[in-house]
Formats: sequence, structure tokens, C-alpha cells
Amino acid sequence: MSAENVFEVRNIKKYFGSTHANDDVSLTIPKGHVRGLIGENGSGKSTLISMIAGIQKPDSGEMLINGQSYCPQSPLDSGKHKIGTVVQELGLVDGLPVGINLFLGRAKPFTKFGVIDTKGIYREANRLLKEWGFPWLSATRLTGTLSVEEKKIVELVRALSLNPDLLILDEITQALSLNNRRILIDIIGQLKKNGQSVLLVTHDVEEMVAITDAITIMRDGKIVAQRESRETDAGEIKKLMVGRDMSGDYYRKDETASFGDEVVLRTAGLTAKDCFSNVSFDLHRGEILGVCGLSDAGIHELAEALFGVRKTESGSVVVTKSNTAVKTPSQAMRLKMGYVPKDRDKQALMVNDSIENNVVLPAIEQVRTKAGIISTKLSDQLSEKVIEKFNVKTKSRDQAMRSLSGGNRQKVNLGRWMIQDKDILILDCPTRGVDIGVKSYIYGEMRKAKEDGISMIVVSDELPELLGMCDTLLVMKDGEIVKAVSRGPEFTEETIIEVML
Amino acid sequence: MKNKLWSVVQKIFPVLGLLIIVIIFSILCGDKLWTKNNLLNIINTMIPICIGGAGMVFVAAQGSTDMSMGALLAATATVAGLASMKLGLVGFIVIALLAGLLLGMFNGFILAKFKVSSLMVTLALSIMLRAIVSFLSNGQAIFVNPSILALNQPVVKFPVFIVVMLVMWFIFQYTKAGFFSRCIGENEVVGRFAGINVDKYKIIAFALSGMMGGVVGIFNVGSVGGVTPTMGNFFELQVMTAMFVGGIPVLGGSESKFYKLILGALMLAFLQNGLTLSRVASEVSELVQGLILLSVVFFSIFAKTRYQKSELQKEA
Repeated sequence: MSAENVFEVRNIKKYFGSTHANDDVSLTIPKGHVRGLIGENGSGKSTLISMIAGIQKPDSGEMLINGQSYCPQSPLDSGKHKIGTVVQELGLVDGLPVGINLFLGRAKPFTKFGVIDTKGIYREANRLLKEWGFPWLSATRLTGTLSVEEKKIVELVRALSLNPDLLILDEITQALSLNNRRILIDIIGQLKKNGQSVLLVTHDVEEMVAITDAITIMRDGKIVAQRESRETDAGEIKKLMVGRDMSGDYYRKDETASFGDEVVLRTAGLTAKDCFSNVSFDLHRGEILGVCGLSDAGIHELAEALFGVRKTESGSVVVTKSNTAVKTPSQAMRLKMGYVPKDRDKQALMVNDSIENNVVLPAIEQVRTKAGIISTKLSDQLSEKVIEKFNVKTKSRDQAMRSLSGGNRQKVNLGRWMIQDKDILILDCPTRGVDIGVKSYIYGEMRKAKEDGISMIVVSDELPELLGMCDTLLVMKDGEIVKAVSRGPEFTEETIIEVML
Repeated sequence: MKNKLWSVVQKIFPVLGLLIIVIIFSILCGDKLWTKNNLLNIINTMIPICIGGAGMVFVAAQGSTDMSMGALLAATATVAGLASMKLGLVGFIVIALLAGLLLGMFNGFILAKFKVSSLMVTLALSIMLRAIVSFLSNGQAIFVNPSILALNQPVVKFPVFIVVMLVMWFIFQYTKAGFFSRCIGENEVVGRFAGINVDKYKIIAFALSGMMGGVVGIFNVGSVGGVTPTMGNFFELQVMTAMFVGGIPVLGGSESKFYKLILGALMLAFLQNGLTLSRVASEVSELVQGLILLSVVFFSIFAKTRYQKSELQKEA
């Protein structure tokens, strides 16, 4: 109870109906301290953070900031108490420029006689963006034209602009690519030096152990343990999170590449303006081909182009079995390709629709009778099969997608493709935003698919995952493939990063 | 508990609205409402709205709007009516259907290929078609082949109506055209990423809407015995009203259901008929209609937001 504790949460409780989202949670964050908060999907982390940020109110318990009682009425109010938050869901107005979004609700200092000095706002916003290491992001750009990563950066800078005593980052690193993650780590170090504190939530356990001073582990709405980062390792944290032994590693055990000789997909000289150029590679039967690169390397755009969603200027993607070039998504579907896009809620799933309809959407040919009629019986069966096989936690197949947790949504998202008879799967960030339990499950399914002779192209921002699962790894830089590495002695984080930067 | 209540209210609201309207007019008009002739009147009001809606529901499910149906049915009726003098009943029907289909496809093609809003495209087509109708008819009523009047006999009309509705319901519920239309309404980007040929299904939806416009035109000519230049004025608005009052979301998506269209059409038909029977002056009647429809929409939105709010609280 001294001044050196910047922030304290005491005996917070929060119920949703009969479920304890937060059950008697207490947490103390000292000055200049970087704290990690970790737990499986649905363990109560986000609820805790939304209460600290003033989005929700606790049912009981109290919060203290710098020794004084703190009960925020709104997110803006929490900002006045010098708590900066970057929440999981995006909180920017698409129709406004970056600079205006940065100062939304805080335009008072720029207002003279009721007129807002927008130029002043842009100037200040540009200064902030530059100061925190993102000089390439212009304050006058329209927010709607930014990528998810760039939007996250805007939110980060907005939180930093409060000069916060406590900065809360909820799963921000997953949206960032490697180079910007490094900038973030630098920022965290800088804050620490200034005596400012950070509360960090991420599913990347290794990263968390590396960045933080101490880690608090939550499970089922309760804090189950706290560990000093120096004295622990990822294995112990994972065990504490899940409550059981995670049987060590969930990646592939073998050290060498293994796949068939038959080429199933051939890409030659593929070029899309401003995204990537002259991309050529062969995908073999049963091969897991990884693609990695920094944020402007064009890896996600490449995935879109392979499935025909993005138009290309020149070059070709050819499925060798029928010797047909892929031009449109519907054609790719007929050629037995599947595609899990990066943005689960905006590109992959109909969030307001039922699980069943979401399963049926890409698998419609499987539930149609010979006469072309969609059979209710078959679609019921198929969705039940996905729910059962991928262990989706839900009451029924009619439940709306949005009522599922992120991890369970991802299970449906992947399951509905993997249950089909596909030859080639393109997976863009297949484990984004899911906890390690679901992750290990997804990796297991990928291994099974590989054994069945399915070829996969995995695009990911998480290098350990690619190194753990792939046979071949393509490293992209500025839209070009700079190196192709085969699973073997060269397959290490150091070698890849060196090529990537 | 409260959450459940609102979810139930939201689901049964259109049925509830229909019941309330029927009860009110049963009290106000007494037995007059339930005579055989009057029921026939109600059904006759309902039939064109249902048929038009059976096509437009595909467009609505995609979250688009078809403002051209009224002008389209007048145009198809005019062209087919003129041709009927030489080609007879069969020629009349074939030409009306074909013209409707082509005009609908035109709508769909323009908006899909040039990525413009459906409201603008269909509005523009509607204005052009009205001009064409005036030109072809010289502003006069057109007389058609008398054999077409046979279509107005109940033995022909009702079975055709039922078959058309069953077929369209089936297409909407159990084929790709219907399923993908609802998916596009939910999220077009998701549809594209999942391999749907979005443009193709947009064209199909507008083609179906246009063709059903043609069917309405056929029946209209059958009951009037000719084509007037003002035929189908504001018809598309009646169909839309029926759909929205019945509970089909304005933004489309998976909540677009065929039965809601029929409920809405019944509501509209009972309302119009009841007001006439109660001897409400026509201008007052329209005002009352508008007010009642507005309150229906308000209440359903109210119930829906209440329901969603409680859902959100449950999730968060």
C-alpha cells in the first residue's frame, strides 16, 4: 500500500448470469514493472482488462491507482487517470483520418473559439507517430484504408499519447509482424525506464517470458499463480495455464523434410502490383510450405492471390493435376483448394449466422444431392461432424458464431475446410488469437492432413510455428522470395530472421 | 429470463402484429370481414405482393434493393400486351416472363460489374422503363387479346399462385441461389473468400426478381383486361413494406425467411381491406396505414435491440 504500487486491483468479482467471469481477482503492479497476464481463451483476462479500462463495471471489489480509489465511468475516464489501453477489438472510426482518431474525444487543447485546429492535430499526431518509431504512418491517411496491423499501431500510439502510468496491451503482438514487434519491445523497455508500468496480454508464452518482469496466470476467472519471469520458463507457464502437463512440444518431432515427389501446385512469376513480384515455387504432395516475411513483404497478399481472391498482373498459379490455372476463388474451389484467410471475423466467418451455415458455406457441394438440392439432413450431419471432430464448445449447431469464443470460432473456421476432400489448403495465420490448447490441436490436425497427402501452404507471422511445422520455408522480403529453406540444420530462428531483415 | 422474453417477442412479433390487426378489424367490421367475397378480396390483394416478393426476397436477402419492379411489370405487360394481339395467350406469357428476366439480368449485370449501388441502378432503370411505357402506349390504355382474361378465373389463378410460391420457396430454401444470397447479405467479403461467385449470384437474384415482376404483370393484365400506363405505380414499395413488416431485415442475411414475406403480405392486405371496410376515407386510410406500419417497424426494432443488448451483456 505504498506509492510504488502504481496500480492495484482488490477482490474484484464480475458475474455474467451464473458464470464467474472474474472471481475474487487481486493484482498489484509496481512502478516501472512489466507484467504479463496469461490464460486460455475465456479465462477472464479480457473481462478484467475491460473493467480496468472502464468498458465494464465490476460487481464488487475495488481498484486503486497511485493509492487512490479508481472507478472509471468510461474508457475516456480511464484515460484521464493515465491508464492507456489497447483492447482486443479495434476501436477506431474507419471514416476519419489517423490523426483525428488519435485525439478523438481529446480535442480540447486544439480548440479555439469552438473551432478545432485540425492542422495542429495532424502536426501533433505526426510528431507522436514519429517519436514512437512509426514515421511512415501519416496522420492524414484515412483509417479505413489501413491494414489491421497499422490500425493496431494507431491504437498503440493513442494509448501512449496519454503518457500513461499504466499501459494495457491486450493481444496486440499477434497483430504485429516481426519488425513492429521489435519496436513495441523497445517501447516497453523505454516506458519501464521512465517508471511507467505495462500490463501485457498475449498467447505467445515464449515472447511473454522474454519481455515481462513477472507473469500472472488466470484460469476459469481466478488467478491461479504468479511467477517471476526470470525464474520460470514457457513450459511451466503453459502447464499452469492449462492446469495439466502439455506433454512438452506440440510441433513436429522430425528434423528433415518429408513429402512426395509429385508437384501439385506450380506458381510461376506471379506478380501483383505494389504487393509482390515474380513469385515462383512448387508445392509437392503432402508438403507443408511456410511463407514468412515482415509486414510489407506481401505474404498475406500472396495467399489471397493463390486462391484467386486478389487479381494478379502476370504469372500463373497452376494446379498440375488438371493443368488448370487458378483465376477466381470459385475455380480454386473446384480444383480442390481450400483457403483460411487471415482475418477470421471479417473475411472468413459470417459472425451473425449459425455454426451450421458457416460450416456449409464453403462445403456446400458436400451437402447437395445429385439434383442440386441442399439437404438439411446432410448439412446437419456435416456441422455435427465438425463440432464433434474439432471439439467445438457449443450448445448446438444453431448457435450464432459471435457467441463462441475466439478459439472455438477458429476451430469451426479450420474444421469446415479440413473435413472436406481437399488437395491443397492455404492457411493464413491458422492459430491467430487462439490459446495453446487449441493451437496444439490445430497442429495435430495439420499433421494428420499431411499424412493423408494433403499439401498445405501456411502463411504466418509467428516464426516458431512455421519452423515447428513446415517442410520448406519461403522467406519473403519487399514482395520477393529471397530464400527457400528446407527443414534441416539451417532451420533456425536466427538464420531466417537474418534473411528476413 | 428477461433476455429470453425479448428473444421470443422478437421471433413471434410479425405473427403477433398480424393477430392484432385481424382482431382489431374483426371487432370494428364484425362479420363483414369474414364473408367469402371479402376474403377473396384480401387474397387478391395479397397475391401480387407475395409473387413479387417471392422474387424480390432474393435481392433483399443480399441486402440490396430492387426499385424497378413496378415499372418493370408495366413495361413487360405493355410489350407482351402489344404482342398478344398476334401471338395470343401463350406468346403473351412467354414474352412477359422473358422480358422480366432480361430486364432483371440487366439490373444485376450493371450493379455487379460496375460495383454501383442497387438502389441507383434499379431506380434509373425504373425511370427509363416508365418512359418506354409512355412512348409505347402513347399515354393511353392498351387493349390486349381477350383470351388473357381467362387467367383471372380462380381455378387458374389460385393453383398457379400456389405452385409459383412453392417453387420459389424451394429455390430460396434449398438451392445455392437462396443460400448464397443469404450469405452475401451476411457478409459479401466472406462469401467471396469462401469461393462464391458473388457477381453471378447477384445477377441471378435480380433475374429472379425481374421474372417475378413479369408474373405479377401477367396477373395484373388478366384482372384488368388491358394495360394502363400507371400500372404498378409504387408496387415495389408495397412489396418492400410487406417484407420489412414481416421481419425480413433491411440489410438481408440469414434472418431473411420466406414465411416472413407471406406474413407481411397478409398484414398489409388485412390492413388495407379492414380500413376500407371501416369506411375510413381513402386519404385518412393511407395515413393510418403509414402510421401502423411505422409503429410495427419501430416495435420490431425496439424488441430487436433489447434482445441484442441482453445478448451482448451475456457474452461480454
